[in-house]
Amino acid sequence: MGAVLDKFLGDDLYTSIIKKQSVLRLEYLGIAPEYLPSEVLTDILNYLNRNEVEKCQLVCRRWDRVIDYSARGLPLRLLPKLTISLDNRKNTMAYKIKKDDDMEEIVNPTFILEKMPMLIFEKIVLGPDSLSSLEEIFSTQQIPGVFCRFGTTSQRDSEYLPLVHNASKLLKYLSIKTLNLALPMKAFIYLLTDPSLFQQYCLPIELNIRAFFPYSTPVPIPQRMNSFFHVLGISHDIQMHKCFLYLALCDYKVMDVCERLFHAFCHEWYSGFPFKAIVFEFRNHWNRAPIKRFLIQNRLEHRSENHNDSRFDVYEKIRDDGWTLNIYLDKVIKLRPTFSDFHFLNHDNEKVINVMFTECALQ
Amino acid sequence: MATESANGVSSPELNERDVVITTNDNRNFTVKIGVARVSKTINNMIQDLGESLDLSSGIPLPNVDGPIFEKVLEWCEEHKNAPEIKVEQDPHTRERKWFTMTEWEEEYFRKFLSHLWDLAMAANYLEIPSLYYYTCQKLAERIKGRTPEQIREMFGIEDDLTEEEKAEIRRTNVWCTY
Repeated sequence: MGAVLDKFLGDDLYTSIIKKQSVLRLEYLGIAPEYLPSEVLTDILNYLNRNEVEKCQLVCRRWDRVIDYSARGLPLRLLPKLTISLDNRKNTMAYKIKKDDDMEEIVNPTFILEKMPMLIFEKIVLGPDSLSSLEEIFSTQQIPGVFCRFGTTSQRDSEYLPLVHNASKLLKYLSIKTLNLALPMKAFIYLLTDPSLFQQYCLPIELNIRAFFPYSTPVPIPQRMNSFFHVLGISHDIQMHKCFLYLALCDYKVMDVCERLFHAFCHEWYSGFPFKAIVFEFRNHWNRAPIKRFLIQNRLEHRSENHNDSRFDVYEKIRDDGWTLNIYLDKVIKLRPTFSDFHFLNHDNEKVINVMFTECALQ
Repeated sequence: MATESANGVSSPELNERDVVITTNDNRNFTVKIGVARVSKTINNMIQDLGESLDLSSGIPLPNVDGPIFEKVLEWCEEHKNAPEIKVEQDPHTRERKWFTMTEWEEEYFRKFLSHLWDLAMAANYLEIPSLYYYTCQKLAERIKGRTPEQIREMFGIEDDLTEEEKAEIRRTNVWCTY
């Protein structure tokens, strides 16, 4: 009879059968062992997502204990973003977690520490100048994240070097694939030109570097750009898949910079240039959060948009050397922060380099 | 016959020889060494015993009973030449990737649906990764999408959490949708 019943106890049937006949439940549905080894239970739960795992905590005390105890070995909950930044108004740290498409939710640090072993983030953003306080917080916690960004606005050597140092120390506690480092140009060049320092700090992971050119620096733009390209040119051995260059420009200089960038691509760097694209972001202030958010959001939207859309004014510039510069400018918000793409088209071999260009009016 | 030399342990001929395995209910199973070896625990015993291995007097398995061992043997027979399984997990969430089972394996678990726990425990003790991880997957399959009440009922687990404890668990798991 057992064999016959076993055959019929298909996945859909057994629930209804056990409800009707408790005898059958005891006899045929495999009672969970009273002293179920925790390793067996965790090996089962490892096939489930975090939500299912947390649900299983309500089954019985034993399961709850095992799940609680082995939190670090069980699946994690994937959340899109964790932002930890300095709240300028209150001068305190602000912790924000984003889940699904919801708004960012402000959470307290104790909560984060408690939850951290069960979470993984697609992106962790550690805001400007928040690193030193972070080490203290995270020295006991492994933060599993895919993406990370540290930033500083500091222009003084005495400030950005400790920052880089702190970032490197934090790597111990972060399991991250990519590190975004936002640094002033000076620190950036310093890092790139001193390979030993670079190696010591950042090499085990992919690196995104944002170089920031301050508006107020008296060095003329061409010179700064050239040094930037020069540094990139000599740094082929450094693994970077994105590089960000920040320039402070007046509106009328935008075309000039585009030309220059274009020039650099075509004549100096294109053949050995390690990057497929350079992202330009123009913003009022380096660390003014609302504008930064605006830029990031719009850039993401922008990527999915069709540039043949009539929303854009297209400017075309054909060069003597066979390259065409296409500039797409958003019609709707020309004076407000606006976005455009630069396409460098070489008509000879149809190579296309897209340069993402984001712009906002400077004061 | 009484002693089989250790240096012959890995030879193909040895795989064809029989070994007697005694379960905790004193049942004797005569098994080809090649089949018994799917269990790493038994394989280690055969290797450790080496010189002193007495194939006829047998290997005792104090933690497995006859009926379950019979089912395990069925698996071992089918998987005696199977390659080692690869347990993979999502690099980010750490969720284990689900194995695709053969028709034979699906049928095997259908047949022994009510013994999944015993199979998992036995496979764990006997160190048979394929049977162990597949059984765990089958159990996970049955847990997935069910409420805690259904899980309890399904596995005959006693609800020993107080309402306060449950409320506390729910409070802690703020993002869990039940």
